[in-house]
Amino acid sequence: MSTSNWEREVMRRALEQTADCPVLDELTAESRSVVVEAHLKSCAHCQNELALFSEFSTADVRPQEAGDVSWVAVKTAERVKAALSPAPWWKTIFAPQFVKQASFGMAALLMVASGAFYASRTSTEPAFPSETPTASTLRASSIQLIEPLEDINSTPSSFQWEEFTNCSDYQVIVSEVDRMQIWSSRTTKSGMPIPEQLKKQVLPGKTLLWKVIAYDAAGKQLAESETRKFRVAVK
Amino acid sequence: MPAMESLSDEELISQFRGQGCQAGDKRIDILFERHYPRVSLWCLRFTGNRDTAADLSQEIFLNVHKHLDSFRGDAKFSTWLYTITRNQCRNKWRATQATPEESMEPIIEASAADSAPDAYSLLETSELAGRMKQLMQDALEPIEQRVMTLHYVDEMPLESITRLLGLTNASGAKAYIVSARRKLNAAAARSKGGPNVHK
Repeated sequence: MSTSNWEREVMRRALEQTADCPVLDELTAESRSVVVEAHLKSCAHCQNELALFSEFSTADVRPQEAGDVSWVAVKTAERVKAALSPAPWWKTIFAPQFVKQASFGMAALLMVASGAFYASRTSTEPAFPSETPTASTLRASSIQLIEPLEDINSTPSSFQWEEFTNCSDYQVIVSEVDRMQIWSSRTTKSGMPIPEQLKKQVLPGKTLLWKVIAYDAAGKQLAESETRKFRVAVK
Repeated sequence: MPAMESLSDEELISQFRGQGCQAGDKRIDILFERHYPRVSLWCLRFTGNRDTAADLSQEIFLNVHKHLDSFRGDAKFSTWLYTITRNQCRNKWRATQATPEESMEPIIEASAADSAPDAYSLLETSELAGRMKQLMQDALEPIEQRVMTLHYVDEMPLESITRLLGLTNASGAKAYIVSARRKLNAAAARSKGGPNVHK
């Protein structure tokens, strides 16, 4: 027999914050007020909050996790810095706002040029070149998954996603909800039939996750989709 | 003027805002560098996978940066960062989870509230929650309460709780939930008019 949702709700309410609970800053203050101190002694929620915050702020890295922690911290720093650094000038010209403004400007120039051209049609001057930026100069940053997504009625027959420009091949990865990978395969197309072997693991009511990674011809990763879930309805 | 490195987190944020929150501000580098390890550790223990942890950690810091203008000057950055980290982990988990993990016998018998909550069952739930809170306070060890909070409030997977709290026993957090539930069951049975308990 499974745990009832009702019991889960009772437990959640018993353990969650109440209107009387002080904010975390008050709990972690170097000198707590008498009122906060008294509340803390009688409130399991606040005791837990304090202990968990302490776990977050002062936890020692265990020897077996030191390498991974360091790797994650370095990766995070690299990515965050890249995302927050000011865009170089040549990138700003492809920013949507600039493209919009440039398009208006270019359109105005073209109108003037066209007028000049027709006014001097006997002239041998070369035509004004048009260089309006196109949508193709703007590259999507991730792959869009099409199907299967969320709750579906029957076992899907294939994975489908939107094509990613300049990509050589794709890797499809399917995993359990705890991220344990159960299947992976590669293809050059933007879709892939689901093999029988995997279909056996697509059980009704059980959620699976999937994502797609795009690679270039040299095997370098170009883009990655979001990880999305799908689940076949129980009949 | 003191060197940036010697400023507190809150002072760095204050100066960053004073300078118009410009991209590439060195103060944010300094601030984040102080906290990358602890957020990375939390994410790693939460996910159990360094690639996913790096994704999650990155999202957390970008989210923090995005909302720096809403940070209250009188609050502590560390508690704010902790709250965002915990919420983002919870949201990440919820987004990939169909139903909460369920594998144990219930303490409280299911009621009509399971199917269609009405005013009566909502009241009943609130009342029971109040009594359950007292039972927890009386009957459970702090570590059991912590595991129960992460499991029921944060809806965190048992493996994540095991890693996060460094539980080294064979079955990890599950053993604590089992023991806590057994204690609550016994305490509820002892308590007059306690919750409907499975015999």
